[in-house]
Parts: sequence; structure tokens; C-alpha cells
Amino acid sequence: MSSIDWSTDDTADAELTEEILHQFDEPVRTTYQATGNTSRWSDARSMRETFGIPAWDPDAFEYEGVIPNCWEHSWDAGGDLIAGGTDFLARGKPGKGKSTFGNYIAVRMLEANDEKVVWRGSTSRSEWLPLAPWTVLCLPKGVDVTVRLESKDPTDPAAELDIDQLERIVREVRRYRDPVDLNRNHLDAGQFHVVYPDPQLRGCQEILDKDPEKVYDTPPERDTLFHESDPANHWWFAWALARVNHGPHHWTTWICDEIGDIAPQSARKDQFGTYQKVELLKDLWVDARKFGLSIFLFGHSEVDIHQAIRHKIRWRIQMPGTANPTTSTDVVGFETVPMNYEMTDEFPIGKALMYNETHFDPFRWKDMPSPTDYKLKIEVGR
Amino acid sequence: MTMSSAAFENYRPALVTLHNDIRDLKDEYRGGLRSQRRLLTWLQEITVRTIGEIDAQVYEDLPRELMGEKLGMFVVASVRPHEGIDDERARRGRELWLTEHVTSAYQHAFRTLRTSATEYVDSAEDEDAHAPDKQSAVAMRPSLREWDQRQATALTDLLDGFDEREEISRWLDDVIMASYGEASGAWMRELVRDEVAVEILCGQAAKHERARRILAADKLLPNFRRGIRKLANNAAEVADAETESKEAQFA
Repeated sequence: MSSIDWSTDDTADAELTEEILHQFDEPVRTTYQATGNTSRWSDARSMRETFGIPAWDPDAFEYEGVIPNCWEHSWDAGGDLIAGGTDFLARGKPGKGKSTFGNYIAVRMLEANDEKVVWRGSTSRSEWLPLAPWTVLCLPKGVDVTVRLESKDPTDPAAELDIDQLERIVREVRRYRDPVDLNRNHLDAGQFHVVYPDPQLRGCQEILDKDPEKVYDTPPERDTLFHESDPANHWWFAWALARVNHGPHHWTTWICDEIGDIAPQSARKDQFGTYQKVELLKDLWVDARKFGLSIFLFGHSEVDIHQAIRHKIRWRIQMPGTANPTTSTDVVGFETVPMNYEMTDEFPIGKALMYNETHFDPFRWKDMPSPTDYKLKIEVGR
Repeated sequence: MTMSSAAFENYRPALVTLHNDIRDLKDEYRGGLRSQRRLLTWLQEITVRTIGEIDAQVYEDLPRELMGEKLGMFVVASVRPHEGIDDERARRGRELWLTEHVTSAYQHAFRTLRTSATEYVDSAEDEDAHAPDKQSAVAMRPSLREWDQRQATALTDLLDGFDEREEISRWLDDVIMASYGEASGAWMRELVRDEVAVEILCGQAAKHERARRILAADKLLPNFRRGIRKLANNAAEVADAETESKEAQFA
């Protein structure tokens, strides 16, 4: 029971809610992915036209192994190139374009590989809103969901929406039962999905139990590693395992903003088994590559992310505003760093540096502004 | 036995010049340096030739060792006669120092230069201007040679001392130039204003010379190192002007 009176007059009335909803662009339901009509534009094309993103051109880059190899996924890469799923960690301070770049790379993945793109949704963030008109929003089934639109100016009233009203903002809302159900029945090739995790973690332990090779200590006073009392974002560990073990093994990209929230360097064997789950993610990394799951991570700094994960990441992106490393001691998992000079500290927003152990290449991305100042806050109840 | 570079045909003289310069400086150091003064000028020379890649910690520790604030082997082992340690230990200390600091710095410098070092395909067989033993520029880069000379002059001027206050402020302008603008801060104003500082800079006693050496280690060498790093960075950009001016591609 709450002893505080939480009710407030600060909620927008129907008229104002309507006005706020009008600020969003109409969902796009005319593309090939939305209609099944192959003569229509694809989602990727439609997004590129909207934001003025030039077509993907791998020949524009000097080193095939850096950007083209990471972007273009292939089962049979040949030469020195890496086949299967790829990964990168993009590091940068807040406000340096990480989230915009996340939207941009989503478009590229749809375009270059007809990929199933999965954006990690989280209650406190909705940086995917530029792509909302094409978004398939995946929410857990059978749990209460509250939806609010909050202004960047916190003194403005917030609008509360019904789930049905969400389809004024996104193309479609789907409800999934568990990670396997999501992967098999709700993700489509060439589409952009924003997935909010199931706070009850239904099916997560079962997925782990099915894998005889993945055995971890259970947290004290518990028989299972996954439990409904875990933080909701632990669902992602089970989702990744489900995707690797139970497919379908179509090209899939997991865009994971603020990876430090899930796999922090400070992960310990706590009452939720956070450390064991980080280990699980580390152990499935190699299989993720083999089964076409690409994992694109974004974080503030190298040390935000657990080093077991950092060891596995083969590409790095340095966002502008912070100097790129010039020695390998700063990059866990790299024996060498190809840069001799600090460059990225003087890059403007919209330009970054990608590198692996042998080469580096600067690149640019397009700004993809959101049409409104309102943020979408989706809370999934337990 | 070292292989003479003359035994090879030199297609990339810039790298060979760099190699020879560093080899000569290392050889001199191996035998022990003749004075603390030489240690400072030697460090300045090798700093330019490793394009500032020697660890910043060395420059941070040196003035403290010179003052006796920090116990360290660097000064004691580098300068003959050695105070308090035998010759064999000093020799080992020097060898260790070279391995630890110069080898990796040389590697970095080499990696930086190799991308822009020009290959002179026709020139190897003929006697011509590209032959490495005819090169006076550091790694054949005129701007590096110019700054090497500016730094050497500014450093020697300080170590020699000044005749009068006016010389100090002229010298400070040289320091700004020699450090490629990296030298800055209140200490520069204090040197002209503060009576004790002026006495140190103009005095001829041994204690004045020692204070000037500490000042050189504390204020000049770290800034010279930073300046050279900035300069080499720009020098590379000039060489690559054509590719640099092209904007990066959309990923």
C-alpha cells in the first residue's frame, strides 16, 4: 500500500494528447515489409529517402576489413574477412551522437543484409523514435503496460496513452510470450523491431536448462539462475541464448545502447547472478557469430563494460569528442592498436573513427532527428 | 657487431636516417654521459628523433631526481662519474633504460614515419641527394630539423645563463617557438618578474647552474616533447594533404 498520494493534475487532457500525437510522423504502412507487395519500396529504402541517407557503398572505404566487413554480413566471406555475425563497441560521451548513429546503423543493416534488427528498448529511453514510423514494437504478453509521452521540458504535462494509441506512433505493436516465441513468430527480415524485455523473465530459465553446456553457479538461496525477481534487463541474456540455440538463424542485429546497464564492469555474483549472466553472454559470443547474430554495443567508456565482454569484441568505434586510444593497453582484447595519433577528440559530431587491430577508417553518418521533443516512456509492469 | 647501413641499398632514406640518428645517440648513452648538462641536451635530441614518443613519466621524474626529491637510477646511472653505485650496475641501469624507454619509442616513431616515407626507386644505386649519409634533417623532415635546432638553442641558452633581464624575455619568446606553442603558464612571467628567478638565470655560481638544469628539466623538456608530438602530427597531415581534405565517407 502506498501512503503517498501520487495523483497529479499534470496529465494532458484528451485534446492536448491529440495535439502531442499529431507531432509524430504518421506510421509508414506502404512498404514491401508492411504490405508484402514486392514492387513497393523496402523499409530501408523508405527510411533512406526520409533522412537523405546515401546508398551503402563499400568501395568508398580504404580498408575492406574495417567498415565493409563489419557492416556486410556473409556466410562465406573469403580472404582475411570475417564470416558470420559481427560486433562493435562504440564509445563516446553523452550527446556525441551515439543514439543517432544507432538509428543510422539500423538502417544500414536493413539495407545491406535484409536483417532483422532488434533494438533494446528500455523504460527510461526512447532514442529509437526517429525510426518510429517503421517500428514493430514488441511487448511482453499478459503484463500491464503503461505508456506516457513526456516532454523534454519536465514542467510540460505528460500524456498517457492506451496501448491502442501506440499505433498512431509505430507501425505495429506485437505481444510475445517468451524469447523463443519472439524470435520465431514476431521478428521479420528487413524490419526494425524495438523490444521491451519481459520483467517476469518467463521461459528464461527453461532456455538455459535446455543447453547442457551452459552451467553456472546459482545465486545464493536460489535454485535457478533466472528468476522473476531479477532486473528486467537480465531477460536479454536469455534472449541472446535463445536466438543462438533455437534460431531462426536469419541475420539478426542486436543494437544495444547503454550496454553498461546490462553488463557493467562492476558485475558481481550478487543475489541476481549478474556476474554469471555476463559469463553466459561471453560464452555464447562465438556461437552468436556462427549463427548470424551481430551485436552492436554502445557505451560511455571502455570501462563501463565488463572486460569479459570487451575481450570478445573485434571492432571498436570511437565517437567524436574523446581521443581515440593510441596504445593497446587502453583496449581490452586488442594486442595492437593501429592509430599513432589522437584524432577523434577534434572530430565534429557526425564523424567517428572505426578500427580493428590492423586498420582504422574515419566515417560519417547522417543526422536523423526526431520530429518531436516528446519522449516515449513505456513501463512494463511485473 | 652492427651491420653498416652502407651494406644495403637505401630505397627509403628517411627511415634509414632515423635509424642512424637513434643508433648514434644510443651508442653515446651506453658509454655513460659526461655531465648532467649533456643528459639534458641528449634527452632533447632523442626526444625529437623519437618524435616525442618517449614516455611522459621520464620527463616528470627527471626534475625530481635532479632535485634529489625522488630516488631514481636514471640520473645516477646515466652520468659519469656515478655517485654511490659501481660502474657495472650503472652500465646495466643504462642498458635497461634504453630497452624500456627508447626501443618502444623508436618503434612508434618508425611506425609513424613509415607510412609517409617516400621510396626513391631509381636512387639506390646512384650517388644522389637522397643518400642517407647526406641527410641532415631529422628523418629527412625539414620541419623536425628546424625545431630540433630551435630547441637545442633555447636549451643551451638557458644552461649557459643570461647576462641581463632583457635577454630573459627574448629567450622566453624563443621557448614558445621551440615548444611549438606548448610552453605557457605563470612560470614564464615569474621568470622575468621574480628577483630570485632572475638571479638564478643570470648567476654564474654552481648552485645557479644546478637550478637552471632543474628548470630546464621541469619546464623546457616536457613542453618540447609535447611540441614535437604536435608538430609531427601536423607534418604528417601536410604530407597527406590530398587525402585529408577529402571528407570521410558515409558508413
